[in-house]
Amino acid sequence: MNNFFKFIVRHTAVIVFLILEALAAVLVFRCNDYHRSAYLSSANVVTGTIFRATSSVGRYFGLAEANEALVRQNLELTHEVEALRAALNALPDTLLADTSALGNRYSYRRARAVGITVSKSRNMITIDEGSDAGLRQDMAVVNSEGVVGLVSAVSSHFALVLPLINTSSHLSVKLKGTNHRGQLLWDGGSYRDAILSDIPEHAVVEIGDTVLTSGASAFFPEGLMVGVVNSLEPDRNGGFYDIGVRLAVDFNALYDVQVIECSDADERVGLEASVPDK
Amino acid sequence: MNNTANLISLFVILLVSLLLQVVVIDNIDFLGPCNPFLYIVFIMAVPFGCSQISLMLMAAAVGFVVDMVSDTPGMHMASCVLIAFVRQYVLRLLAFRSAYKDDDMPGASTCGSLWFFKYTLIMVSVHHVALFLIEQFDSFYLWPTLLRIVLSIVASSALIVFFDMARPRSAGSLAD
Repeated sequence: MNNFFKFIVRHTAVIVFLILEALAAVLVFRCNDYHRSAYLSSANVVTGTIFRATSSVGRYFGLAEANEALVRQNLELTHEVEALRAALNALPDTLLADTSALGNRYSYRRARAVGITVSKSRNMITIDEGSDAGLRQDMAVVNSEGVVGLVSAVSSHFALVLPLINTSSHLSVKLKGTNHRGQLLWDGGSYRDAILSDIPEHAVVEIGDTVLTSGASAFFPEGLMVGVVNSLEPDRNGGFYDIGVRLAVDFNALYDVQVIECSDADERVGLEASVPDK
Repeated sequence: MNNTANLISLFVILLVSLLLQVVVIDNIDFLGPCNPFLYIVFIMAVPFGCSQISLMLMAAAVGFVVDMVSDTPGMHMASCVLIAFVRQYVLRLLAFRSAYKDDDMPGASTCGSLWFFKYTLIMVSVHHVALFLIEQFDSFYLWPTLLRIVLSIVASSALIVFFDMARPRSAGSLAD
């Protein structure tokens, strides 16, 4: 027993070291739970407020481009409204007697990205709206260019978003045209480029093909713009392509974002969870 | 007397380096996978006489705060505790000609520029290799990670040496 105490005294520093590292390891391996808690992350009020103050200085530099993007989106939307109106007029009235099925499944809320990093491997975005504005976990975040990420935690006035440019992000996507589905991943390299995996070699893919959300996730509407194929080579292991995707969103110039609420997401997630072991 | 002066300058170093880290450095795009971390200058500047255990506890607290701000749970904490643990072995390895006093803070002015540069390079390398490997625990990509480690070590070392040069010193803490 005496020897035991001597051992403890002699190696106190090593023991404290191991305890502290074990504590840190618990935090690291519970990373995903941690991202669900707003108070320990940058979505808490203190860091959120600091981020908002600093971003209010920097955001003026990007106004010209933001304006340009809005004008472009406005134009596209005007064309789309015109096309839809023409299509609607062409339909007989009776076809639309029951319009409940056409109700809005998705509603949009605007927010601003106040805290964002692009050069880390685990980039996160802090946005300046939270549960008070109706934001909840697992809502999709987009901007006028395309998909940004997924809300991972909310406090009352801020929310934390897991962007596509985080090495733990996965997004189910498809190739426009062929509808082949794959996973969009990020390797920690350039914030403009991501990786598209799981596309079989027999699929017809070309550089310049558009990548859209697949609709396999309950949180993202199908067909949102994600990016464009910009490199393509067969995987060394065979069977699948290594595809590089130029992301539609320029995360370094991100400011205005929209958060999408999907009204039947809960129903769908509940239904899918009730299927035992996929 | 020296102790109070040390405490104050340590506190200032901690505050200024953390603020610079969060408000300025984290917002700069260094054109590539490069994330310099200036704040570890605090762990490096703690006086020679500080015990290994108190240094590790301080490092754990600082790492935890940085983790909160940058949403990297436990990752900075783990690598900060590691460099706090190895610091006395590094100091022993770099044993410097005249014995230093317990109250002295490691820095270019107390120990010489070349000595401080070597000390910075070793501490930064240990911290960054640990940090960037831990960050990849659930998805590992070799080349981007290696590039990130090398670029960040260079940038952090430069920032820390520059920070140490620019830091104003109270006349009392200078070793003549």
